[in-house]
Amino acid sequence: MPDLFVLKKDTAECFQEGAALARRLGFNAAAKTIAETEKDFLEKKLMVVTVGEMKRGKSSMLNALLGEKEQIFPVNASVATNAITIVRYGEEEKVEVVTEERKKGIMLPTTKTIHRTEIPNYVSEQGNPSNFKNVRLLKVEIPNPLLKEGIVFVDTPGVGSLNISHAETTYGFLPNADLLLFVSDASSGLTETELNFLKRGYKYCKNVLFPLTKKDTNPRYKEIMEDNQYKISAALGISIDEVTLIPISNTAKIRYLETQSKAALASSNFPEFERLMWSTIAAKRGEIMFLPFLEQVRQETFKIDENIVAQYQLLESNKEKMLELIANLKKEIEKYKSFESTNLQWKSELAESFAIMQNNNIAALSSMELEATNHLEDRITALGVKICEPEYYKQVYNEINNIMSERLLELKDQMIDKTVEEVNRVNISLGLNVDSCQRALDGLNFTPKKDLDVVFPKRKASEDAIRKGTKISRSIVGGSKIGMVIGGLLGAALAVFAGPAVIAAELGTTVADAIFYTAISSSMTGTSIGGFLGGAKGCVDAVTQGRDVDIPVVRKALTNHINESRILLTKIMNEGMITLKGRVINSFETEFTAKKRELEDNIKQIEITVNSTKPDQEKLEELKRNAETIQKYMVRLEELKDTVASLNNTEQDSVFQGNTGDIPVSTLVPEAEKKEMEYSFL
Amino acid sequence: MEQSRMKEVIHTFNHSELCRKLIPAELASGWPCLKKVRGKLYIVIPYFNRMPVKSGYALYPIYCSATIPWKMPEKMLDFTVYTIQENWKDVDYSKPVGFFKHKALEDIRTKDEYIALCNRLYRCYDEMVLAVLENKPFAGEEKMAGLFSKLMEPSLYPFYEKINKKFYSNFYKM
Ligand SMILES: Nc1nc2c(ncn2[C@@H]2O[C@H](COP(=O)(O)OP(=O)(O)OP(=O)(O)O)[C@@H](O)[C@H]2O)c(=O)[nH]1
Ligand SMILES: [Mg+2]
Repeated sequence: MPDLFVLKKDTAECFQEGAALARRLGFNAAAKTIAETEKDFLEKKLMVVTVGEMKRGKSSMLNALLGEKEQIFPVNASVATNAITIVRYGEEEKVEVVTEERKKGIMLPTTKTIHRTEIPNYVSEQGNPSNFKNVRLLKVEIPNPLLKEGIVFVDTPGVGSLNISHAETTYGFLPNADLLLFVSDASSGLTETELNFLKRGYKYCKNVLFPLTKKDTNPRYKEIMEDNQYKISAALGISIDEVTLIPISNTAKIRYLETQSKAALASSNFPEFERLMWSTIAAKRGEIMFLPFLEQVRQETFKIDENIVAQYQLLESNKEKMLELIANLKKEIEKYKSFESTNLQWKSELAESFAIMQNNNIAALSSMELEATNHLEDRITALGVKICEPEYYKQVYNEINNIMSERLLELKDQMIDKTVEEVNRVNISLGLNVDSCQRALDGLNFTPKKDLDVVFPKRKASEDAIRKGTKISRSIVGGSKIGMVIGGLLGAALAVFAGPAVIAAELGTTVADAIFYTAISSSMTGTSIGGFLGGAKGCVDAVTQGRDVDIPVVRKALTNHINESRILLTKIMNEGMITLKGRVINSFETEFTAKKRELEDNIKQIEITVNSTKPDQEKLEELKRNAETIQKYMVRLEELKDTVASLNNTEQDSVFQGNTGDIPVSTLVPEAEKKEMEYSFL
Repeated sequence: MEQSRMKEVIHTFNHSELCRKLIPAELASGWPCLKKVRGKLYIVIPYFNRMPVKSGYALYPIYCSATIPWKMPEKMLDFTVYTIQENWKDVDYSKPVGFFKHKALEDIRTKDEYIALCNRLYRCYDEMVLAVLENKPFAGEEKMAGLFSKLMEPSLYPFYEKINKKFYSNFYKM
């Protein structure tokens, strides 16, 4: 297997050369894209994210995996982790905590360096109860060789029903996960909430491993393992064989690290777990960390090649057509200009769709309120005055929060899907899905004198295949850019709806963006449901302090809580929609600018050829030389791709397709068994 | 005679803040259908546009619907705008689909007569709801079908069917 470091260095170098080459040939827009791709490539990490209900042993497992002398992730018998912790490689140890503070009305991130021993003061429930310090992220860099290849471990707060803000924080992180470690344990079976969470996570990340911790605590752990396996396969709609639960003992592995006891290591089952995890990572590495970048650069250089080749063909066969091509390209520029100034229908259409989405949000949130209220009434009926006892009251309060959080997450999902759909629609209606240079060329009605293969025998077969069917060389490579608009927007939508801003920043969104999102998203996450306890919290206190409460007081407190939640969430969702709309429009405008630049580069290069006083033969020679240089470069990219592909020694799993099945009806309230009448109209 | 509960429920929702926010003021509510979600009873109220013309009203396709709980009419479970639904995309909202009143109502001469007839249908709805809530058979099915088939605007029926075929077709006997 090739050395990953060397490969990474080679690839980055290759990208730098690509950018230089594009610039030298006068294609500045492409040069810029390639340079940006290189930057993204170097920053790309493979995120291994642990998720699961609280207390399943997520933090312990990461400690056991990393094998550090002093444990990094705080572990505790009561709720421990309450903020996301990212651990990555660094030559020297460095721990930073990112908090959010309100400054001049907006929430701004502040980073502070701390010592490792201080970690629990920030990300554990003990040191930072209810996260009153507003910690959004803990960033740890350690010289641990396991992380050296760009692997990042992420610990998340438990997603359990007790703390909705935890679920939201973790959920916001899921779209960035490359591998999920979904943790269950041998002491009790998986709950509905956990399974729902898994389903949601699975939508964004299809690579999941299922460690089952605390194997040491239950000699009959196999029963739980089988039960979990069954539940997971049902929830994800995949076959049982695809759900491999790996029983492990974190405590045994940690004991091994302390005592070097071989018996402890064997009973921990970590060797097996680690083997599986690292082979999964190895299999996905190339696909996640190299291929998208190589493909992006390949497409950019391919477009340059196409321009040069087209020039060559026109010059050789029909010089006048070059001017016509310039005119066509200019028309394309005009089209983009009109989208920016006069032809603004796409904007009003977008505004309309967003308005409808906003209405649907209002409706969905009011339906959420209704469901929660219904639930409250049901529970009052079922429990009677018992609901005034602290235990029951808290239970119902959590159930209500659970319903609301579940609906909210669904709604956020829907908004993201709809936004992507909208963007797609506008893309097609504006013709952005067809490459504009291609359109300009197709408009020429031109047949080249000589077959391309005769002039450029070395061009790769794959390009020949793409070229087939078009009159002259340029082909349908525009797709990638469109993909990027959508991809970028998906990221933006998620940042708005799902993730704290500082995390978006951490993952490569620009600083300006991060601040922009911070303004809205901090109010959208974490604080949304669990954060504003208002009347309900007062009531919890009253109930727990044994003051006089009766059913009307409880009903009022909880109804208020539900109602306030709905009002606040409506406001937050509305603000989010406005931001998102702005963001979508902005992305399109950025896209127009990029397209115009690309077209201008193309025109300029053709004009240089047309206006040059050199004899045609000389010009042809020069074009041919340039084309061959770029083609040679593309061969190199292909070779790199082959090497990366050889990293993937395991087959890609195709069965792991998205599952959009129904979310099962909550099992919180077992419906009384009753026989229902059958009606012909219901 | 006693006011119909169904009519009251629809009225309450139509005058709620939520309805004002979501449903364009010019739309009229049509005949509701019943729906059970997670064991609870809801009614779906369709809304459509109508424009006064010489002979009555021009009727436009159903535009949206609201699903509200029978027991809490000022709240809402669901709100659907049909113009953006995939299986409604061929519906032309620019032209009327028919006119009020339709043929079956020829013998109804005054507005009061019409309202009285509507009230009878609303009371059938009440009986039906009661039966469903008590989990008993609905005895007034035939009576309801008679009234419903008379009052249902034939030009709008296809849209009702799109919303809930099982319910509406059970009472529309043409
Ligand atoms: N016996 C045994 N105990 C374990 C194991 N893994 C974790 N624990 C214990 O379970 C408790 C919870 O472990 P954590 O690692 O804090 O769990 P977590 O999932 O990170 O919890 P939160 O961060 O609160 O969601 C601690 O008391 C651990 O010592 C295991 O494999 N065996
Ligand atoms: Mg933890």
